Amino acid sequence: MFSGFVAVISMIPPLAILPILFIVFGLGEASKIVLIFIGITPVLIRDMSQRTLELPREMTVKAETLGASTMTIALRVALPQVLPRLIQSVRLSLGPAWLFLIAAEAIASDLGLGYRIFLVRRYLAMDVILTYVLWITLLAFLIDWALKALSRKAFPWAEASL
Amino acid sequence: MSFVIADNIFQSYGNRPILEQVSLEVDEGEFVSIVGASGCGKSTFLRLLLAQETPTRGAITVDGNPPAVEPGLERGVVFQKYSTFPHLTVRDNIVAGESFRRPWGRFFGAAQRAARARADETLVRIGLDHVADQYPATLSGGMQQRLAIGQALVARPRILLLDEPFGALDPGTRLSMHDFLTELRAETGMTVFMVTHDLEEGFKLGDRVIVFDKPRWDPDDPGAFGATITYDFDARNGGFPYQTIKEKTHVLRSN
Ligand SMILES: Nc1ncnc2c1ncn2[C@@H]1O[C@H](COP(=O)(O)OP(=O)(O)OP(=O)(O)O)[C@@H](O)[C@H]1O
Ligand SMILES: [Mg+2]
Repeated sequence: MFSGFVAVISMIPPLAILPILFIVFGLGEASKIVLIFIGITPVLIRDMSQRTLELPREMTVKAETLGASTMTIALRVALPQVLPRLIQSVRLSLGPAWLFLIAAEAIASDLGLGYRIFLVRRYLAMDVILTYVLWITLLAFLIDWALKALSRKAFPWAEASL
Repeated sequence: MSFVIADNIFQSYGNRPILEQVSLEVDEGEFVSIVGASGCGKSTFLRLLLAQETPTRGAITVDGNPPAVEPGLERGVVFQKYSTFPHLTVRDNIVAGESFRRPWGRFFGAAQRAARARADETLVRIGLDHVADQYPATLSGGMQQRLAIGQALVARPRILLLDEPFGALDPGTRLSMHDFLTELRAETGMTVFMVTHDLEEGFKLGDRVIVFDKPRWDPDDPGAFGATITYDFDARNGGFPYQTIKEKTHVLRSN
């Protein structure tokens, strides 16, 4: 039921509802954040539920023979094993997240990196645009790197199995 | 009365029969090896013993209790793969054998430290104390299976079910695993069911070797009939029964 709902939601092109978000949330930061949220969470949820289903049946059976309740299996067996994959998919979703951010800022905003790029476009100021592109790339790289470091630190076993 | 009783079990998936008329009585402490062609339903039988599935007809009772509906503490299991938890260290995998039955699946504070200390003792016994802080993925196949068996045993099951536990190991490691299992069994006196493709292994470890096969065969439709137990060998004394002299006679001795 819930997964069907998420599946339908995830089919909505997020950029298509951007105007609605602007009307509802105004032109400020809220709209951008909501756009990114709507854009990437359905994908993350679907990915997580898929990963959970992919956990080998043997593992849950084993936990049951050790006396684990459904709750214990969810919290101690399933959840810890899908968390590193959550970080993995957040890393993969960073691309779309930036896309949504820059698009939102380009269309309606009065600050932010995306806004500035599209502002100076009018003056054909290539050097300024490239500088901003570099900034964005650097930021994206740093966020990705931080997530990777976090994953390494929090889930050392996931690295060991690679 | 026997400890484990399978009474005229049938199991089918859809309308395809896999097992039919399987009846088996096993005493407490017996070691039963299960052999048979691939796909004949050995793992299915083990899943029934485990109560992971309920048979289409018939019932399996343990110690006279009503048939179980889901796997529980009474049964321990080791599969060929995926029998340890990859996100827990070797030590915590052993602790899980005691802690998963707790309300939150874990111990806290002093109980946690005590459980870890007990786990370390277990690890010394199963020869894994030097890798206590590592994760299972960094262990060799033999060490992982030793861990899986140790983990199953700290939960103190009455029945241990093994589905080709040594199938992926090299012959040398296999032999040392045999010694390991024989030792543990002598200590705990558990009832063991082990599926294996290695007849020699089955006869070496088992008290009994049971063979699954199809008694009837329809050449037009190989899936029409299920398998049942076609042989039940006494495997004590290396598979040669009647080797123990029952009476203490002194006829042949000159003293
Ligand atoms: N859940 C299921 N649904 C449908 N068919 C199944 C299911 N589980 C097993 N089977 C079928 O039952 C038959 C017996 O399977 P099983 O795994 O018990 O064989 P096995 O004797 O353990 O074989 P192997 O030695 O290769 O492990 C197979 O033909 C399999 O396709
Ligand atoms: Mg099998």
